[in-house]
Amino acid sequence: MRRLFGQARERERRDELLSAYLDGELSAGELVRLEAQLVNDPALQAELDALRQTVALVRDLPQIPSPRNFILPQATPSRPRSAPLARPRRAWAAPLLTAATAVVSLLFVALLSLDLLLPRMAGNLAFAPEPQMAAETPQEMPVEQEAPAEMPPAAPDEAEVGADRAPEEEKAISPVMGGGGLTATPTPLATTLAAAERSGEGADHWDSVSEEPAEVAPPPVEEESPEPPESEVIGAAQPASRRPLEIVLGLIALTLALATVWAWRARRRC
Amino acid sequence: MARLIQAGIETLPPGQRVTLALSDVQGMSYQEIAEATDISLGTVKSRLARARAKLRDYLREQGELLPARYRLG
Repeated sequence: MRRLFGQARERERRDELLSAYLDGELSAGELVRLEAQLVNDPALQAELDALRQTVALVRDLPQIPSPRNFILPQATPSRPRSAPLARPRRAWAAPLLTAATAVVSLLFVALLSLDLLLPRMAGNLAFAPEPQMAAETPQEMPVEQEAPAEMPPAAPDEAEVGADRAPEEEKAISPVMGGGGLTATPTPLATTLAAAERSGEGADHWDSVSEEPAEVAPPPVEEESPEPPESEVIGAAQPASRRPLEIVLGLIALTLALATVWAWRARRRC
Repeated sequence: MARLIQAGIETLPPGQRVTLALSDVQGMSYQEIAEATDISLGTVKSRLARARAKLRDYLREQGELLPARYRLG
């Protein structure tokens, strides 16, 4: 046991000498003695070579730069003096941009919502009174008959649909509100067709359905015909005029959002 | 290979690791290391010798992972 401990101690002493020899830290006497041993002992020379190679490998390791805050002494200020001035400037920019982004985004959403909701509301308001008018005042029907070119493209189809059932269902359809455009639009044309048939075949059959056949066709009221229905104006023209504003607001909101993200990141980096 | 040497250095006790790094990586003399770490010159010498010997033995054990020209005898 004592022998093993002595061998380990001897080996340790030998490694210490070899290590110091590599670094040139041996005294003159130690240096002479070691070089003499190296000449006579190939195993010791091999140990020296292995140790030299180990040191060379460690010295050839790639150098990794230390973080700045790791190598700076505590007394050194961590930043140049101009840096604290830059931080407050970014500090208020980020919240301000956030608020601006929120405001513009809300405006954008509100405008979009208006565009989506207004046409529906306007459509309900515009279609609601029309059937009543058709039922109550048949005098106005020829007006729309005279201006078929100004009607929207879908109107003739709807008129035909209405015309097929109009003679029989005229009175029944008019008060019904659930049909919307289909119940409102076809009524005048259907009545006109009915009037045309009446003039050709005889009014006896139609008198049982409509109470005032003679007054339907003749009186053309031209003042109301050129104006398109108010629902078309509200539903189509206004959203189109707001579309550029929506696009601009959307772009501004997007730009502000990007700038906000950048500002918060810059603030965290400081 | 650098990873292998780095792993070998990490097996050393902290005192030996610091001494090895200051000497073989930073290139400091024994006297500078003694002043920087506040230990005696003899302790620097012995710590450095032990660190190098342990690393040499580690690299010998892992010799198959090293390229032929870096393998220790």
